[in-house]
Amino acid sequence: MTEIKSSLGLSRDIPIVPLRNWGRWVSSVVIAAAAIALIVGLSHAQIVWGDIPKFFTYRSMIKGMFSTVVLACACQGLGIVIGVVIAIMRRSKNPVTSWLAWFYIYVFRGIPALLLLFIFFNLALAFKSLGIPGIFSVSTNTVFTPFVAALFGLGLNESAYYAEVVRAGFNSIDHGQVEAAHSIGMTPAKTMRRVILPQAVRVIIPPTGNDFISMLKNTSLASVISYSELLMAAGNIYSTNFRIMEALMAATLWYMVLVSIASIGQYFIEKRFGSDRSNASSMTLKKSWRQSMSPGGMLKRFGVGGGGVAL
Amino acid sequence: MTDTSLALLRAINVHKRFGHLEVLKGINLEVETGQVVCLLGPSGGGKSTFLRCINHLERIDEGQIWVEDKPIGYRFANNKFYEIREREAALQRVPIGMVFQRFNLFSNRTALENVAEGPIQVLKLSRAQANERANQLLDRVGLNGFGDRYPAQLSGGQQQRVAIARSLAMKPKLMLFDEPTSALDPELVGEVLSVLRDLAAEGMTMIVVTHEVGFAREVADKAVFMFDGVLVEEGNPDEIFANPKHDRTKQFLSKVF
Repeated sequence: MTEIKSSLGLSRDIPIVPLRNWGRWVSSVVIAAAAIALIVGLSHAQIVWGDIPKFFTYRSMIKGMFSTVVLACACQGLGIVIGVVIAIMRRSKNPVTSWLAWFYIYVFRGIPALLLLFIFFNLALAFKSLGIPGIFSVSTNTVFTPFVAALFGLGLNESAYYAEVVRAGFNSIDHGQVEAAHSIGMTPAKTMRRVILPQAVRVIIPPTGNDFISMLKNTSLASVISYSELLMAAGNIYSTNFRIMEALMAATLWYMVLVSIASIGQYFIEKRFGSDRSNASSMTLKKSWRQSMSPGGMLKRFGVGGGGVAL
Repeated sequence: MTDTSLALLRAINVHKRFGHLEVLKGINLEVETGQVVCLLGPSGGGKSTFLRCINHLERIDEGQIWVEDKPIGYRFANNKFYEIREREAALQRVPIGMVFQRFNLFSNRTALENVAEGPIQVLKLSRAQANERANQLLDRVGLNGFGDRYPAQLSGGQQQRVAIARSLAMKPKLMLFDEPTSALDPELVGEVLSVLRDLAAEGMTMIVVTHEVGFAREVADKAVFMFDGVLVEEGNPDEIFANPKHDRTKQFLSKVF
């Protein structure tokens, strides 16, 4: 009692003992041991490491990489356009329209993307030609090239998911703002453009980035309908030289590079659209990285240093 | 075309149902140009619903609401009422301002942009003209210099005053206030009521749903009591407050004072 009393008077000199996070030390040691085991294991692996950078920069590999990017962008674009339309249809007061939108989502979320790719690729088996009878007609095979089949297969699959993303964005807008827009004489279309969409975009962008990153990788499915993207390029390499693991790892590296670029892009787009300006965090990518990954910051989280004296 | 002998707002036998629940059971009300009408009564009595019907945020099931020479929600031709599309309804709402309990400002736009939005998008004013009008209105509601603030950076009272300015920017002939101070901290109520007082003094026609009996007594030309979707008593506020005729009104006032 008297001790506390006297210390209250001398609070200037009382040291503070930082929390020692023993659990963090233990788990770090376990992880480090596992990492060493992995490295040792890999060094015994029968992989010609030098082949990986070689394959990585093969012309066919880089061409495949570009094809992957083109297909992913096209599919995501198609998915976004159709997804937004479907989401708006679901809001429709016309029961037929909103039901159709629901049914569309139900169907295309239900079909595996790979299966959808096969269906579009083999469409010519069911329909020899496409068009309006007597007006124009084209051979299905010339329309549904591997690229177009992949575009529709992956794009329609994505559109069903994306419609739900957009719907969530719409639902996040307070209905009061919609009524306020109506009360000053804004039409429903104008309210959608000026009030709902700009605010929904903020909610929609992070999952869009997620979807695009998924899409980059899902394009590898298109290799099974002979669209020559990254995975197929790797396959072409190892089918001639049998360096299977090396070629696959080169492809892996490319996917990692693409996903990294997409993640950085997502960060900047989120920053551009996500700013509410009223509550925007001013932290930059560099700063937040520095803060979480700097040695000082890391040590602090283990309870090293940081101790001090209360004022 | 406009018959000046007619009241600005005429509600005739207005019914509104939500499913089986009849919220408005035949409301009749007239509001003259320049009049301030306070709608009083317990929550759930249909006051807000009636206000929302006037602005066609709710479609009425029976009866008519005329604002000037326009039947709300309809086009009158060939002695028939034709239901109108949302696009036309939007036009009908332009001369009718509405202020909500929860302010409902556009949270992604500044105070100035909130006020200028209607003039730019609906009245097709140039941005410069709209901003000038918006600045004048912000000044008028005592928010000079707050134009570049976002709603989240404003207090409730300030947000509500921006919302009032946003409605005024459309140069309305009739202003509807749906419990404009109910969501405010007690010390912020005064600043909003004083804006309403100024508007009333300038001759704005207003219908105010409120629980502020003191305000109603001071500012209203007509007090109207509504219980369970029925308009039970209306008249001069001093007379009604001093000596209510209907039992429900007596009961209500005895609880409020």
